Amino acid sequence: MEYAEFEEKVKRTLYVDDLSPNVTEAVLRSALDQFGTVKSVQFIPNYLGPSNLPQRALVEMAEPKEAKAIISVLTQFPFMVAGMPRPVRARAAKMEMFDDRPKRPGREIQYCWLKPSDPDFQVAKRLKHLVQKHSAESALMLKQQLLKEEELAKQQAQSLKANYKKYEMVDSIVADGRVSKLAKYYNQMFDRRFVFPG
Amino acid sequence: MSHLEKESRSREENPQFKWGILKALGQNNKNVKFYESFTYDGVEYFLYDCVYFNIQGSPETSIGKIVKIYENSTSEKRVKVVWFLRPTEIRNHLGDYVPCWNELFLASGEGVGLSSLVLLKFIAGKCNVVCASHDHRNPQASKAAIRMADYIFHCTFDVGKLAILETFPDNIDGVKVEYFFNRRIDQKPISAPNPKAKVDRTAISGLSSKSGVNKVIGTTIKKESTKDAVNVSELKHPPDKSISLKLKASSHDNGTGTARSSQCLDKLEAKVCKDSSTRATNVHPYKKRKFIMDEESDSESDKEAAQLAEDKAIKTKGQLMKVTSSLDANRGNWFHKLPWEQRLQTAQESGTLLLLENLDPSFISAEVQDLVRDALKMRVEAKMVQQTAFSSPYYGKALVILQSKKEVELAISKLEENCLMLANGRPIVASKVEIEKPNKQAGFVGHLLLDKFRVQRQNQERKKAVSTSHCSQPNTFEYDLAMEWCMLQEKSDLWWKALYEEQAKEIEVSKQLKMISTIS
Repeated sequence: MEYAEFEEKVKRTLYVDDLSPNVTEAVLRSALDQFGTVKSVQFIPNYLGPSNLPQRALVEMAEPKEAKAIISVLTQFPFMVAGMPRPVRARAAKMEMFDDRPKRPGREIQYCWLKPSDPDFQVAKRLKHLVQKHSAESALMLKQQLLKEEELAKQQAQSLKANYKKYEMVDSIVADGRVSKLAKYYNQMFDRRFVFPG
Repeated sequence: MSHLEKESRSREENPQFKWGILKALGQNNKNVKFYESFTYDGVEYFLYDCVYFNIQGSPETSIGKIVKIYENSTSEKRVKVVWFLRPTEIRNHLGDYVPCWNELFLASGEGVGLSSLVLLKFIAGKCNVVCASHDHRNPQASKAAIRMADYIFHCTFDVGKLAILETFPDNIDGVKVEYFFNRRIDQKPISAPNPKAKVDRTAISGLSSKSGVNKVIGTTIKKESTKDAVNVSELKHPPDKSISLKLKASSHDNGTGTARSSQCLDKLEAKVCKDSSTRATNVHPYKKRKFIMDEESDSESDKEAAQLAEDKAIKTKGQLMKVTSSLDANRGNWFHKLPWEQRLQTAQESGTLLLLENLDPSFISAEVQDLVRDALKMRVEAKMVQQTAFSSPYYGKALVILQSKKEVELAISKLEENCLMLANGRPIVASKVEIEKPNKQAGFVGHLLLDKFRVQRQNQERKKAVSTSHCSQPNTFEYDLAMEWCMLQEKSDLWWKALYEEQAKEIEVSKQLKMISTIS
């Protein structure tokens, strides 16, 4: 693929993440079909990350406008795909996200070997250490992030449970007539709609 | 400032007023008098001036153009004003339009919000509004004038159609559109220095006029808030949440410090903040650390590194080699016909997998293969690891499959003993790596199941591969939970940004040490 063509493709593509493992290409397509024509969906494989990383995908649309529209809607409103309440995220794709990029025309790669006797060898070694340190930092950060996400999910599950329990309780005492008996006793009106609106 | 405050305090109680030139008498009612100008509180206002108004119930001033000045039979002094709308006021109808931070929209068409009859007492000072439209009827304003303007406008907003129009109608609320465009030079100028000049001229008020003070305050605070606007909403976001100027003609306590309310309070605004800072996050890390080999770069370290590479080429005995790209692009095909995933798996199992780090993120797989072939004299298969939302914008990684375990050991030891340096100062790091097996059952958090029935339904839907996708509506519990996720996502974006900025600094420091060592 020509470089210019590739650049143009990048402009039409979105990077979507926070996708659940249940999301397949078909699911993603039908989720985003309403915004335009989905030309292709490519899931980015997770080779190096921790195993519980959410899925990510590159979605290529027919027009850059459509991609922008999706990004704009998804940043303004939480968009759920195949589950809730964790929303999926979309942002503009970058060239480095693609694994089958064409070569940039006119680019030359230069290298050299440094021997231990070279004055720069020590500095290069230090830089190498830095690379590994940074890599470890990123891995740690990712781990922390996933932990935080787990925490939030737990919290939400509990709060949902608690809310649900309340509803169940109210529902049960309405169902078995205790509430209407109490209402009669206290000469009050009880309308089911107070508890279960809509 | 303080003596001005005192003076303005005394002026509050009795704002001065004086009629200017009488224009005409009312046709129907001879008691109604139309004027061309008036002096209020030391400032002279003319027909077709743009003016700030303090409207009750609104945190911001409203800006309008005076199209009629009159006093009716009950001695009420009013002005008829055609409004300039702020982007926040029409934010639901902006659509794709991205207004500048000081852009207004002239109301047009027919309907509510086009114009109003306002009592004079609500006037809060003059406003310099410049028309930047390229309409042929509009005298083009100079760049300086546009810069000096308090506000500019390019388009009108039709209050009836609720749409932004770039073309101007022939008249707006019965007034010829030429009166809304910039004034011709032969007409009276409406530039900012004028009110102050007029203020100076009036013998009584001088500099202590409240409107004059407010104008000075207004302009200085405007300048501060310009910076704010740039910082908070870097990418042309409507300035509704970051700045609101309160120029109350009657409040002297706020006089020197006009209240600036930051409106990131309710959740929806938080979402909007998220929008702008998300975008800022996206733009910054990558753009700053883009390492382009043979084009001009915008960071000092790039230039230093490039210079350094050249120095090295001259000084050291090691030659700067160029990687020759292989002509056969499909060279790797004769290796295996299995898909890459499988090849990776086999490589992992047989120990022929290597991870190369500290590559330029813009490398492509073929370039990595060529590099290894040239430098290590090995034929390999390589693939650049695709970058994701949290990948470091500075480092590129590649997974390399070699032909045998021995080769792996050889490569690692070679790269350890000597340093393979890329021309812009990147030493390549090689290591053994274990790749993750694709595991669909891995825990994904965040999706909640409401009840057993729901689970069954979802299973069925999953089988049909129909997406249960939707946008969450604000009045649901689900929305609140979703918002918590958005907050967390937002936070994590900021953490990553901070981490990468730190790392960039550390890289800079290390590189500078490099410079020093070469010189010494």
